[in-house]
Amino acid sequence: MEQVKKTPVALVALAWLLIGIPWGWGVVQLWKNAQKLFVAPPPAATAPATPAAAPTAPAITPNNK
Amino acid sequence: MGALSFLDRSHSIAQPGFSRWLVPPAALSIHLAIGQAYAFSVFKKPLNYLIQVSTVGGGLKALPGVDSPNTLDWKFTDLGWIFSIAIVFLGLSAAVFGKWLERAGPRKAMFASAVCFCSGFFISAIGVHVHQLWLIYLGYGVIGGIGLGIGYISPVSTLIKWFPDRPGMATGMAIMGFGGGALIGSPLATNLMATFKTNNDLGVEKTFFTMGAIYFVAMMFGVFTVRVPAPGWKPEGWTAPAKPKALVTAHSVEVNAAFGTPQFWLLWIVLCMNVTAGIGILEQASPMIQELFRGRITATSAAGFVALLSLFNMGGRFIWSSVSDYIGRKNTYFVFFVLGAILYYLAPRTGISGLNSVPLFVAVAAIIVSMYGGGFATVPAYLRDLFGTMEVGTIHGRLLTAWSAAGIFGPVLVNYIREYEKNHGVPLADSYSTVLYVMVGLLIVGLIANAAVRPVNSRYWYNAETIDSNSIAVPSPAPARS
Repeated sequence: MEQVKKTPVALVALAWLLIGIPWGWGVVQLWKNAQKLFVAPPPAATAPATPAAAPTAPAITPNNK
Repeated sequence: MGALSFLDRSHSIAQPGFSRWLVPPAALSIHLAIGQAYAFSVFKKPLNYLIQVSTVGGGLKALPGVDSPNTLDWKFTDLGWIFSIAIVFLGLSAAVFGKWLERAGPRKAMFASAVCFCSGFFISAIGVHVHQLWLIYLGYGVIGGIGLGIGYISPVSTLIKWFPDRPGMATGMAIMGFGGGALIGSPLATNLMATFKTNNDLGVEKTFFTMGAIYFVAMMFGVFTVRVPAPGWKPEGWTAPAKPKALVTAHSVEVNAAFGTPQFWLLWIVLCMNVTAGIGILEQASPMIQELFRGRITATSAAGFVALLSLFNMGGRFIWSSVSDYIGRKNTYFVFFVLGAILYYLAPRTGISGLNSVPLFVAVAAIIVSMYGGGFATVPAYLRDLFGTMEVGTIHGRLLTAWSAAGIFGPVLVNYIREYEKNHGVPLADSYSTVLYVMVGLLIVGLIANAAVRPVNSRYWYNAETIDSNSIAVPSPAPARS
């Protein structure tokens, strides 16, 4: 009787690991970004002690979408 | 072509003992790669400043929040077309190549997807090098977009055949990968650009080349791993239910016949309405939360909110599609439309002029976005229930035109309403309410379409004698492998 060669469980685990590692890295990066939602806003500004400086454009990183 | 014959369907038929749990990682390797498309926006600002930085210097840190002052640089509006072209070609290629895919098999389709998607990066790198925007339109937009379409549908019917007991979960897993692709694509691109940057070069060209190479290798893992089940294969110990659920057919419908059924068009409306409504909140998530909670939510917090929505978009794809295996597809969409309508109605009331609860608004938006993702992931199994497994990949490809339509319809609707209200002096926060109420209307249209779905009439069932011999019926018998 011909014996059926089953896929080793380790091979299946390795395949999932190959996918899971970069994915997990992405999820961690995103979670770090998502935590910004829970950052308290700065206190409301009171009357400026010195004349207001000309507004400067905020630095934009390529990650700002 | 002899060298590439290993790509043929006949060479990818699984041997006895092959674990079906190797197929989802193969599918995910494709979807996680092509899902990078959602992260293309990270390139927009650097692409907008190529000439300015190359002549003035300053690197990535020199990029302000406005268009480049150099008139030779590409404009934001022109760069926006790259992603739009890619999505249009995703829909078109999914519709056009679906039939070929069923015949060629998933391995050849995944290979074609990898070649197109990664060539798109390489051509775009050349486009950056010679500063020709049309090359990026052609590369990332047209050729890359074709790679997206073929890649998106390539594993769907294979997964459904491997997991007849849990088709929703299986396809949901792959489609979750498409939602999750941006999670890898965005930080990868950012890190690569940071690595390659110099004072006069933003590193975009090298990043495009590198990403094309990395994604090609990753997609080859899927190409070499994927297998199709041998004819007649079924999971060990599983038997098809003797009395299937009301909407689940034991028959198959050929793609052109399916195209003529009311069920196909009802599902087209269902998907289109679900996606349009989801885009309604995704498109304006950041400004919406800032306006609804003025003074409490900063732009930085809003960026965190958008990131959180991405997680729910991805997670919803797996969770909702898995749930659909237990409660049925029609009931799942019923939940999407009824719960969605209630939540869209509630969302503006959580703002500063109502309940004034940030956690409540975030929870509402997160559930809405999870159902948006869930809609994408559940639809292949819905199609399989109605039309059988024979050409489900092809039918799915054609149904994705609903996504293309929603991609145009959703943003146009949102922007038109907001512009109209702004011109009539409506406060910004209130204009969001109107948009969300319109979305409630769209969801009700979807609810009606979903309610009208009935089993496909038997006259549409596939009958081998009525179809010419060139059509795809069932996979050809497994040849003996040496």
